[in-house]
Amino acid sequence: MSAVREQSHAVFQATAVTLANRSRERFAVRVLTLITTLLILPLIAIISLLVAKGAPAMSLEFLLAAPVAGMTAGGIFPAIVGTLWLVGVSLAVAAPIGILAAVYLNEYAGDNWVTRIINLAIVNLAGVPSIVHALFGVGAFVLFLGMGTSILSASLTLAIMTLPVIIASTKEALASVPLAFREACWVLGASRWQTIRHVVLPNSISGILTGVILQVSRAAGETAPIMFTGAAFYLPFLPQSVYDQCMALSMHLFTVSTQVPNVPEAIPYATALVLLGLVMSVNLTSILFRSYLRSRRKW
Amino acid sequence: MTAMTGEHAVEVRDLRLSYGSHEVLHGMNSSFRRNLITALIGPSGCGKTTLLRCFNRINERYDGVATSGEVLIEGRNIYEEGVDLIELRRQVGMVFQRPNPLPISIRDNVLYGYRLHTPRNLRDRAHEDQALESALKSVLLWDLLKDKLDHKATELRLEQQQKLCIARLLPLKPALILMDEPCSALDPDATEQIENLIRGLSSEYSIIVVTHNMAQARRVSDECAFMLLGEIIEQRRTEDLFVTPADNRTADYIEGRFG
Ligand SMILES: Nc1ncnc2c1ncn2[C@@H]1O[C@H](COP(=O)(O)OP(=O)(O)OP(=O)(O)O)[C@@H](O)[C@H]1O
Ligand SMILES: [Mg+2]
Repeated sequence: MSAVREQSHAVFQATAVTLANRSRERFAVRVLTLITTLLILPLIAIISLLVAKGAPAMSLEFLLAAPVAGMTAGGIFPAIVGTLWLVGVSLAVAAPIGILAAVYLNEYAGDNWVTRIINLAIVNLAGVPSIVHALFGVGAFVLFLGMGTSILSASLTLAIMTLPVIIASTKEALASVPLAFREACWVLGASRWQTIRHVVLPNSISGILTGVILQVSRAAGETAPIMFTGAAFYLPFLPQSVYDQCMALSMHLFTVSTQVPNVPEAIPYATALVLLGLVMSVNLTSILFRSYLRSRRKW
Repeated sequence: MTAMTGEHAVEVRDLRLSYGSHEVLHGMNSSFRRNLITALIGPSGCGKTTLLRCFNRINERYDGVATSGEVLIEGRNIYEEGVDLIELRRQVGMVFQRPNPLPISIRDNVLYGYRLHTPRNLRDRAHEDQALESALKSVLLWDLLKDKLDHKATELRLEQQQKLCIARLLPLKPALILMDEPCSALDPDATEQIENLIRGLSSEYSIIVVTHNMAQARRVSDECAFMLLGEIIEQRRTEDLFVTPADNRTADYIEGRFG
């Protein structure tokens, strides 16, 4: 009896081993927290730099006027409009094709060698450098299909570049819909297409949209694929159709930073700030939209 | 279509099934009687779920499944050419181990199958309301849920979800209802409710229920089939099978000598 009581005060007391473990644990948590926090520093640094250096050039006129005086003054309005065209047209092409392809691959295609080759091709396509896409775009769209250097050629090139990623992210979103939901549909006699329309798509739409919208930043930011296929250095008027060329923010940034002499330092920084702001506001919208969709579903 | 073959809801002839190179059912022969509850018991991995999934052919939705042999339901071999899988699944309902209502409203869940099989121009609110009410009444959920038919079904309590999963089969007037361990995710109280429900349905439907729980098989079923390694060892009236098992392996199993 007394032996038991003797032991009992030592029960649940930290020993030397647990104390050592605990201090190691604390150390690990601190290191991990620190590293994770450091990750946001580059972002903050970039934004502060852009704001500080770009602020002098930033004005409503900068946003709404065309560049003048050999692009050393004026605004970037045509470049903003051009980027909207390029991103809009490329997504209008890539999103439906990518989503439909992903639906086919995830919902219909069996696991056979044809599907495996397609999947392999998609993975590899995602790894192709953008300059190679640019050359392909020149060969295929500009020259072979005779579309010339135009918004259409540039957008199609961007679409080919973003397509594999859209397919991959859509497939992931589709695969995250529980098998139990599909089974519920099958046993009630729903066809595959009914299952997809009634259950799979409504429950994966937020994931699908996120994947698609993330490609906006990619399409808006790339210079190489549009440089030879449709983006112009300097075009004082706005494009009227997809057969025209256009300016683009990424291209303009490249031009005013490296190709044109005597550009005031603030102009490239302000251009970059606009590009970043545009991309970040699209991303923010997608995050808000996704959390809205998430809040509506519960399972 | 061949004529109905009397007292059997399901007849299995020489049924073989393999997943890839792994054969799970080895030429099974058996039959399941109409308007009775047949319990399917047997140790884990013996192929109960697989057999059940042969009866509505949803095994084929998974890759690498090869089936041969015949399964006659209402007298027709469902593996013969020309059998429409959608029509088959309308007439052979299935309830899963984990309740799987769709993440939509209670009303839409119960009417989901009904709407799939009723052309849009023949659907009307009055019919739907009637089908909804009678389905929910059959599973004793009507009084509880009649004021919240627009709530999401996935927010219901687990046993209510399972009842709902049974209810959604009923507007389709299935010839056969398959249940794969329908109570194994539920507590004893809920289990009892579902068991009573199953008993109540047996006057109108032929039911095959897989269970791990031998007490449940005894309580709920009229006939009982004992399966081992992909074969039916013994199939008789439940009373008889449990009291005087004819095969040693059956006796060993029901006495808990292997699990
Ligand atoms: N989709 C599948 N692919 C490959 N093998 C499978 C698949 N489903 C089941 N099996 C195998 O088939 C055999 C029978 O499985 P089944 O699920 O039919 O058994 P069960 O009697 O229902 O078991 P339990 O009582 O655990 O549910 C097992 O060996 C299992 O590993
Ligand atoms: Mg099973």
